[in-house]
Amino acid sequence: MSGDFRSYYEAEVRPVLAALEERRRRAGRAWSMVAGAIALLTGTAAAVAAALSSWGFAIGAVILGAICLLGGWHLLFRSIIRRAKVAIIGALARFIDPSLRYEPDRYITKAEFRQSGLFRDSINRYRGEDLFWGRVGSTGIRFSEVHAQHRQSSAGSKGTHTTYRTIFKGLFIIADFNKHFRGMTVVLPDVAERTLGWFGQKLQDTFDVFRRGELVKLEDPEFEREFVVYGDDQVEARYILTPALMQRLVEFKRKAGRQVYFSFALSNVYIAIETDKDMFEPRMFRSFLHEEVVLEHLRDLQFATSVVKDLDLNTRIWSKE
Amino acid sequence: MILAVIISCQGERTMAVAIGAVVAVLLVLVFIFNGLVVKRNRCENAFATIDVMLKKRYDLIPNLVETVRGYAKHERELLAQVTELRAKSVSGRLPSDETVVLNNQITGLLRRLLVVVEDYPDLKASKSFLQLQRALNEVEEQIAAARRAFNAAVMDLNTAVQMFPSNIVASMMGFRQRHFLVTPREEHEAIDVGERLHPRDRTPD
Repeated sequence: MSGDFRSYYEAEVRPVLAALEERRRRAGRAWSMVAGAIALLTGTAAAVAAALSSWGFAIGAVILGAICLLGGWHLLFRSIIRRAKVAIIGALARFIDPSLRYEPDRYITKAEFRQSGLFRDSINRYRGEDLFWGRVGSTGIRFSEVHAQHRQSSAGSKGTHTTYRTIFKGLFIIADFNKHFRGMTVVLPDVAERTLGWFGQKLQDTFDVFRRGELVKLEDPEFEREFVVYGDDQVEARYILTPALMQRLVEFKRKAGRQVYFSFALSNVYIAIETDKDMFEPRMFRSFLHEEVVLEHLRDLQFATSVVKDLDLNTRIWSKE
Repeated sequence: MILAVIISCQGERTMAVAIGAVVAVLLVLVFIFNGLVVKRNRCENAFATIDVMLKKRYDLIPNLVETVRGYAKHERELLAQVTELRAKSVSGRLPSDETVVLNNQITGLLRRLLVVVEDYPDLKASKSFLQLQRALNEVEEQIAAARRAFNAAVMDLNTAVQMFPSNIVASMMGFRQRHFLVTPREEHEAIDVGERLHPRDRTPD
């Protein structure tokens, strides 16, 4: 933990945690009494029923008791965990930049997701959570977790079978780009080069050429190995993807260590980073008391906001301020 | 009689195969030819785009010169040079190679101008100059992008002109390789704000 963060943590996070911990203790005491009463009642009812050989009633009583226990626990503790999450993740966001806000239930909308032009499959199920928004330096930024799925129906012997295929799951970032432009340029992982021989994929790529605009061949061999670029305008694509930015994108992909998609549209840069990890999600209240867990949330957040520095978006030497 | 029919049938079949083969070859030739035309037109188009971007810069230069002249009295010579080169390029009677050389010189002079400006804090702080500087940065990068797009188009064309079997069609139809535009050395470097702010710290090339 860096000195900066430690003092911030002690001043901002610790008191919130302490207050919530006290609340949790009180709730815990109340809970042990309620749980004991429920268990006692259930036990007695089940024992009586068993003595009368009314097994159905006995099992019913046990199940009802279990449901009451689980429901009660959920009611009492989920709200505390949630408050802790909002308070702590919100504080971490403010540590990164005082203007950065956190809303756990909101997410990048489906319309915004579509505007990126990155994923063309029809989206039948779309979910998300953990929206952060604000500015990092002079760059406006919004990001959240997103899960977009496509419905597939296949007719089998037992009727139609419906499954959901994931189009994208991970972190979706929208940042204000530092140059003006009009069209759309997308930078995709170069799948064709890696899965050469997959005829279907090739075919799909061919169709992509028609749907996404022209193929833009760039000079940087390292960049070309990692990505394939399509754009409405050859010159504009190069105006955006300067040699310096190409290097930065390659480095960012390496740092992320996962599949990364970029798109430049509507004066924004859209960045989609695939991941299965459920970020900013504490399972238990106690997890917040572990420094390591808090630090991991901070690292996730720093990674998301690092795009501004990594893509040099705060450099505003062009006509867009 | 039967033999004659069989022979004539076989003759027809051979004929059909021969016609089929000729049509196929012709189709391939047409395909290759059209491909070469598309590539050549892309080069022309890309070159025209460079021109458009250069014109944008020509439009910017008079304003820039006037703004700098107001503050920097000692840079008359440099400003005169820029104005003169611009006038020459705008006259539009120059063959394209010469235009490229002239514009590279303009690029060099403008860069020098932006360095010189560091000695005039009032000018640097003036709003109109800052706006011009931003516009100039933008147009310089657009010119660089157009130049790169042109070079990419040239590479596509040159590859097709050299590769078999398109090289046969290319030599028959008079398609020639084109020269790449050489980028002035300093444009290879990424624009660095720090460098703009402290240009004197830089060791000369």
